[in-house]
Amino acid sequence: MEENILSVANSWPIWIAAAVLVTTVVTQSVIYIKHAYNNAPLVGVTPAECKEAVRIGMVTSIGPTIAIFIVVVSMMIVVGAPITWMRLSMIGSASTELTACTLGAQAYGVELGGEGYNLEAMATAWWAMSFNGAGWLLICAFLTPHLEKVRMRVSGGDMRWLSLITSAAMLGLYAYMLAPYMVGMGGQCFVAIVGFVVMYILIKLSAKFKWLKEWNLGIAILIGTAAGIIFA
Amino acid sequence: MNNVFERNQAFHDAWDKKTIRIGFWSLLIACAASFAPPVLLWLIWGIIPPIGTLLEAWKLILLAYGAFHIIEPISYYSVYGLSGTYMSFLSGNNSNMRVPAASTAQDILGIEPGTDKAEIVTTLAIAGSVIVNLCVLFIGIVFGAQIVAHIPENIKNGLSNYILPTMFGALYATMAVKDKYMAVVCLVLCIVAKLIGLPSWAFLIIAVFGSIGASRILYVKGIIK
Repeated sequence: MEENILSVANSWPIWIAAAVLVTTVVTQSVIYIKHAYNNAPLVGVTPAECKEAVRIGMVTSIGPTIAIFIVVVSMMIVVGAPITWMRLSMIGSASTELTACTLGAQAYGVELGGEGYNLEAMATAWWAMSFNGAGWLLICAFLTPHLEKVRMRVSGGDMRWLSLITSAAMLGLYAYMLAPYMVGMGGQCFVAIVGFVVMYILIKLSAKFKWLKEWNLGIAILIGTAAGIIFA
Repeated sequence: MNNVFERNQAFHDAWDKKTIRIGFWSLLIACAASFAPPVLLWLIWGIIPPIGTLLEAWKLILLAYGAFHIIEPISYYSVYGLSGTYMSFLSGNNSNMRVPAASTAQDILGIEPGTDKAEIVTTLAIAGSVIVNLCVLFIGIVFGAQIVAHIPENIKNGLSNYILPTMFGALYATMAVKDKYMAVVCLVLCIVAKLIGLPSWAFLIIAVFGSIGASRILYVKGIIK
């Protein structure tokens, strides 16, 4: 890896460019919060419930964000801090972005951060990440309105079935994330089971102690992760 | 109870069109802005890879992720709804942050999934998760190197390897208490799909649409109501 790479990658024009993107993401969320507050009365969601929904969303994302800290640091070393900030603030999970970087470097014919990894190689990695993100952004921009129509048609107006579709899709997504850990049989399988058991107990407990409910996920993550560090 | 065509037209008139407009433009602006850093490299420092290399990079990306660009929005849509899709596919971290935010909020507030109420609650929960995600990430960018240097090796491993599997195990429990048949069916389905080594985009389709199919069968047979 050449010396001057990071001085360019961490220069202020790149910071500004990254800030523009991050601002777009924040602005979109703020606009949607306002839009949701304005329309909540039409479906009978109270302002208190609105506030609670935002808070729950905030609490659930703390754990998973901390989980990517290590990737943040290793990514900053090879592509620079501002671009890492930008990429991890937008579509493409941490591992996806790292893979995209690697593919970019590969297209240039070098290893990411390895020998011959120069400014042009880094630029290729940047372009690769942008190409990748653009795929999701463009397809969603144009496809999303049609998905609502498809959903209404598939449900045939049966509201109970519509609700079951959503639950089944959620369950499917969680099973999709969980299965690789279960198949692996190692420490990650162990903590997944600990997480499941602890959560199951907490859910039973919070039927009695209502205040507990919103802490359940955080407590389960703490105990499971600690169990993994100690026993696995 | 007859639930057919019980659609709140006043809400959809006020909600859908504006949601789509906000989403469409924010995604296009973000798409353009995301190309700014490599373009600046080119304009300011004159650093631009040969066009053949760029096309090669694009090809590799499409081979690796092209299928996901299309399949993911379709697969996640019924969980997110309209605004949730625009937010989640702008900010990313779908499976590890946005779905948990949406499902936890619906669960705690006791909102039936897929309803108009759920659309509002999901929107707010996802927005909340985006804001905290970005704040914590910013701390990570600025102080990450110093923080990580002070964490012992085994805790570092624990944080990067165990938080997510624990969380998915725990979230699975919240789904399993509501519907144990479906929880068993979906997990077995996914473990089998994983074991036979499907490419991960096919695995995603099987996980989501297989689960919806299984749910349909159980619903029609009256096993789930």
